[in-house]
Amino acid sequence: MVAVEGAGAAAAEVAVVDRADRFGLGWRPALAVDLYRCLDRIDVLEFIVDDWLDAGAQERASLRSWCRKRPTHLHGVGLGLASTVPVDPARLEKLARLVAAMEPEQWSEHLSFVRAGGHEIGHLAAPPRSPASVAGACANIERATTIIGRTPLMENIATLIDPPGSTLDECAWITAIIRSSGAGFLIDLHNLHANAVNFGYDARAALDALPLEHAVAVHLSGGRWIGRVLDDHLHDPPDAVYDLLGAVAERCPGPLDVIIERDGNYPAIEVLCDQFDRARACVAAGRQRREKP
Amino acid sequence: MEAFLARLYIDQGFRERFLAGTLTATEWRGLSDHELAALDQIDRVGLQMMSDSLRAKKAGHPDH
Repeated sequence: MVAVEGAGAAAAEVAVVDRADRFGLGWRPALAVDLYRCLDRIDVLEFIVDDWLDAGAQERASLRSWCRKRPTHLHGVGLGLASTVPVDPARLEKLARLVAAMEPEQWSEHLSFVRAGGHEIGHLAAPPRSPASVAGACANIERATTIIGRTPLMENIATLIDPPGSTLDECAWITAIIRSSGAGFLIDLHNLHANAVNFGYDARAALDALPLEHAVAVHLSGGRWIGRVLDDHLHDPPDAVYDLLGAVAERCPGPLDVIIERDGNYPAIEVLCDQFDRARACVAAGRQRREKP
Repeated sequence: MEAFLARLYIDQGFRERFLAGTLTATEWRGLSDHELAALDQIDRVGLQMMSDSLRAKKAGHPDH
């Protein structure tokens, strides 16, 4: 049992939980009432930070209240840090003000680009995986760390297209960025599963090539088959994702925050809670294998 | 290259002209020989899925 780091004056009001491994959900407006009802089953919450950047005082007070109920991750989708284009300082300063006000335990972003040359993609896109994009990502993570005042967790993304112009494979590219930048690793296991299926590699073998020594958090989600696996967050995590979770827990030295992401087609909250109970069991089994190989 | 890809993903007319091989020299400007070769080998199925996914998302169907 440890105090929550970085919570400042709010620390006393944050529930203290077992820091070994924690399990939770991505907060969504449609889930808010049920999440509050089931809060005793939830160790950690994640909020999509971009939804709150322009929030008014009342909405910010609501977010602040949630941040004091449970350890919180603020999760960004709009910075586009994995890019050879320098990140917009104005976006970082806006995020910095929200992070300072909310005092989340972590903030995170994606290993993606979202705009270039005046074109807003409107989604996460994989840049060409090259030494140039490694350098660009590291420079952007450093800019973000300087302005926001703490290092982000960086998440691997799913992609339907193997980014043209790549000279590094996905694992080598992710590893180079995480190890060079000092960022924590947020490993999304459905993204890993989707890319492995879509581009013909073994996801479990890929774990051995990823920087799991830097893993701090895990995302679980689901998707659907459209000729390739689409990571849509509208379906339950498949069995393959739970299998990967156990393998991650077996390999990771540090405690993990395991977060289920669901963006629609919501089942009953009890079903979501059962899913992270299943995740708890997978992690526990993986930890046991780690202790007794 | 990122700017070219971003436009390829979201600009249907640009993408159709790219796939038809009718982009102008100005539109190819700034790309290296390696990048041009990579674009020549682009995964066309993935490109179509990517652009369809982006269009669905823009239309309000979450899919990431």
